[in-house]
Amino acid sequence: MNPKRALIRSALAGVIAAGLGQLASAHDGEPAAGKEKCYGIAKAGQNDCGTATHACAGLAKKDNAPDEWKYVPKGTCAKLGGKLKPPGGK
Amino acid sequence: MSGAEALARLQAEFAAALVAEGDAGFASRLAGEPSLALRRLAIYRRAVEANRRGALRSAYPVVARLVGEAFFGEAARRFARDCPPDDADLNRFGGGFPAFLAAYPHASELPWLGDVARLEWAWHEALMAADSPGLDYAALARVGEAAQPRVRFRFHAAVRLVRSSWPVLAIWEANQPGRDGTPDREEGADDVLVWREDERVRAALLAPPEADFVARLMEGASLEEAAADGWDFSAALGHLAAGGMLAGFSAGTPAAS
Repeated sequence: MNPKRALIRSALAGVIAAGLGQLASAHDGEPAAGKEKCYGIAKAGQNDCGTATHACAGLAKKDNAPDEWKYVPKGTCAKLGGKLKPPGGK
Repeated sequence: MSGAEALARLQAEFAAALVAEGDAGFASRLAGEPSLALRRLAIYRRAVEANRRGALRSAYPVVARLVGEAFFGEAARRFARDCPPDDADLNRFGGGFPAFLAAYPHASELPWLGDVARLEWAWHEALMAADSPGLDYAALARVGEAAQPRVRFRFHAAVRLVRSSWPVLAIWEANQPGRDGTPDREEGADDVLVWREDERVRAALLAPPEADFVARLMEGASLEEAAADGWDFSAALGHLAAGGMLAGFSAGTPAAS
């Protein structure tokens, strides 16, 4: 058997053993401990017909016409600015 | 024209007038003083715009924080105008926003912005995706040794892999509530696996060989095709299985090769 096939066999055996074991024990500990970031985020439903936003949005005196200042990114990107680099300084 | 047809036509014209630029001629068909009618129509127009902006704001909170509300609002307005939603469920609106941002001239100094948005959309989709069945381990155990290399996995509907030339996960984390927006690292080419487990969305940074392996499996490659020579993928496969990311498999013969 070539090495890749041997690896496939052992990797699948590991997955199967862990999977069947997980079913048997019903609860598994923290998966892949410490490796991933986990966030629980609740989101509100959105639909295109309701007044999901409060009525004031529609009652605003002016349309949201473009202005020059709306094209300038503010917010927290100033903190990263030009500091971020892809690897190799591309 | 029947009454129902006339009503359907009137409604379609009203819907078109809500997203049209300028008067669009619809106000003249409304009862009352024309200038007043236009102002009344504008209330509906702004409500539609606000709903769509709100949907994007909900899916892209990190982008909004990165660029600020004014910039975000204008980008959202233009995107909604160019790519209006095709589904009344606005949770499905905004899949094209990352590409829009990547090409948005006013964001050209933020070359990573489109990739951050891709990560946010992956997160959003992972949250909204339907549940998938779990892997049938007993059936997998019955696959004969000769057929094992041909095993192809089906992934849970919530699994996404976002590959970027930028440290997108670091940027994303730095812009979660309670953080000040300064990333822990300034360099990186983040390959981020996103999935849902125990009703929560999770993300993990993958090393390049693992990302290549997962990407190939997600494209439908068999284990033999996905595995790089000389690299032990056992842990990577174990991670996918333990996270509930594998929803099924086939072990049929490959397409003519």
